[in-house]
Amino acid sequence: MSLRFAPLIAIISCCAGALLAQAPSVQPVLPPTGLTVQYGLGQYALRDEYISKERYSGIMPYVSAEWSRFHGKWGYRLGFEFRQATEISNNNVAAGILHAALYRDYFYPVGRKSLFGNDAYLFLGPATGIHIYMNDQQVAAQGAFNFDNSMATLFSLGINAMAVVPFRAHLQIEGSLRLSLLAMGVRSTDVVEGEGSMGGILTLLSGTDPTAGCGIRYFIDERLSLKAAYRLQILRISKWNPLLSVDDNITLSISVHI
Amino acid sequence: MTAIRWLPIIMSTALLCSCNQLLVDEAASDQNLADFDETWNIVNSRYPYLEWKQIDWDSIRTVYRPRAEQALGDEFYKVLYDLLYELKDGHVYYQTEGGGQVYPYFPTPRALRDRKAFSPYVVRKYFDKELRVTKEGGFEYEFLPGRNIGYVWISSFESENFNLRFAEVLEYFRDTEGLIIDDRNGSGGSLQSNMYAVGRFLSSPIDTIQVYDADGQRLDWPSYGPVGPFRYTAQVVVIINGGAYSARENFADKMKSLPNVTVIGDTTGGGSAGQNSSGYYAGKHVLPSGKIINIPKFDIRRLDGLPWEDIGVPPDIRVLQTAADIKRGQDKQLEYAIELLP
Repeated sequence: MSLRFAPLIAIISCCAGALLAQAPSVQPVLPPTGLTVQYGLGQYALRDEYISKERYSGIMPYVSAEWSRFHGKWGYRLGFEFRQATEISNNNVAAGILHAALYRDYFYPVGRKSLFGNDAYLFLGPATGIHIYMNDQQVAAQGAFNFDNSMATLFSLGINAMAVVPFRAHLQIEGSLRLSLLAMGVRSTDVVEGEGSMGGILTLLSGTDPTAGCGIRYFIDERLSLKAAYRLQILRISKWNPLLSVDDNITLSISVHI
Repeated sequence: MTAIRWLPIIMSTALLCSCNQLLVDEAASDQNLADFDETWNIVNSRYPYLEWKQIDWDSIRTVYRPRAEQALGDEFYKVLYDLLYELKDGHVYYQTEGGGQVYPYFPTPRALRDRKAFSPYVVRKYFDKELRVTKEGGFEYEFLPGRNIGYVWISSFESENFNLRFAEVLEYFRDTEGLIIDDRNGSGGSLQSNMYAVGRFLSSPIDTIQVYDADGQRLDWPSYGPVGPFRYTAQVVVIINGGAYSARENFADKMKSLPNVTVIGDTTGGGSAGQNSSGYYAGKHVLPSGKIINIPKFDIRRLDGLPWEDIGVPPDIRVLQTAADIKRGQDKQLEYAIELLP
């Protein structure tokens, strides 16, 4: 499994290297605060073994709205994200997918490092969130009496990390990682057989949902910026019937720095 | 020059967008045809109602096997759905890998029709106080306003401590002049619960219950006998409708044979297939891929000797009720039952 991540890490490194080889000139706002609205589109793949071992995949949009403030020594981020698609499919079997999350992250400056000749401003803090995942694979006709909908919910506590690298006038690179370390999870189980509890504690090993992002922000002026980014979100739960979903998105966002 | 500088970024982004495919594998095995053949064979050799329902199972094979052969991945679930639907049996189901059941033929047509032709909320309007509820919620019961008549809705024949709770209800109504047992729109359940409920009204055993397997062999079956600290002998009205299914129908059929019981309402849903949880007559089968199907193995008969599969159990007195009646807040079947009692 770890080998699978090797190309991903290499690609991120190449990408960052190419961008960081630019000379900084103007230092914009650090970190970006205010109101941000984001839209993304990307490929989504899912294997939900509550239903089957088959892979479902397709295109799924992503939207989010976020409010963030920075108070000199610390900041916070309050956001809502939503993804929904009805045509995530395995051959001719479609699945309706709905993911929603409400999160609140705190971040503290942890230092400034030199990275390829540029200053990288690092932030770290706790992350909390409620994440709801509902998968409706159409393995039965509509209206049939069935329990084939699969769901998972995480009430998570973890960390978030952010790096901001100003590298040119009005431009900065931003990287972020959010990771659940401990979560209270709820998952579909066999209701008729009553096998096990639907709820349980999930650790980093038994269930987590890392989100990583890397993008470029362009400041139109002091109050407005645009960002293009790549966003990767993984959900992996192994405590019950395994659930693995991976979502790559190219996102565009607009921020009003209030 | 600028374009060349951005090229690695563009290429990297394109590659990154394939992470979902890299990290989520495609399934490795494909045993759809083996699953199909296994399912067909189990039904062919063990399902008890092929003849009763005049199902030509051989011709069904010729229709569905090519579909199974062509099905890729989870498309097989749809083949399985359609194949099992042909049995028109509300007890038949298949499971997803995690255990989520899919019942192709449930609700049955009469259960579907009467799904909204009963409402416990409307029933509650006929009482001047809140109905009592047993600990696990299996029964709602109370005296009819101003009458020495009891009413109980059995919401499930599979609730925990069924016998204990039913005994509590009957104790509460021990000295009543009549009892309405509402058998509409709830869950089925176990034979043991069924036998206990009927046994509280019996003065002598019912030992004429016929149960057969797919080969037509009659199975040993326990007789229903008197149970509990006392026998309820006052007049009883049992209300049924299309939403009464499986064990609920069995209850209505056996109660119908008693002289102090009148069954009113509408014909039940029609599911008389049975199975054991393990052994030769177990309903569940694991298919080669690991999917599970549930095929009942025996045919339980009404006291008149016919299965109630498909045809249901008819009432002694037919009292029709529709979803529109319930929407208006009227329960005609309950009103009729109240009128029947002294």
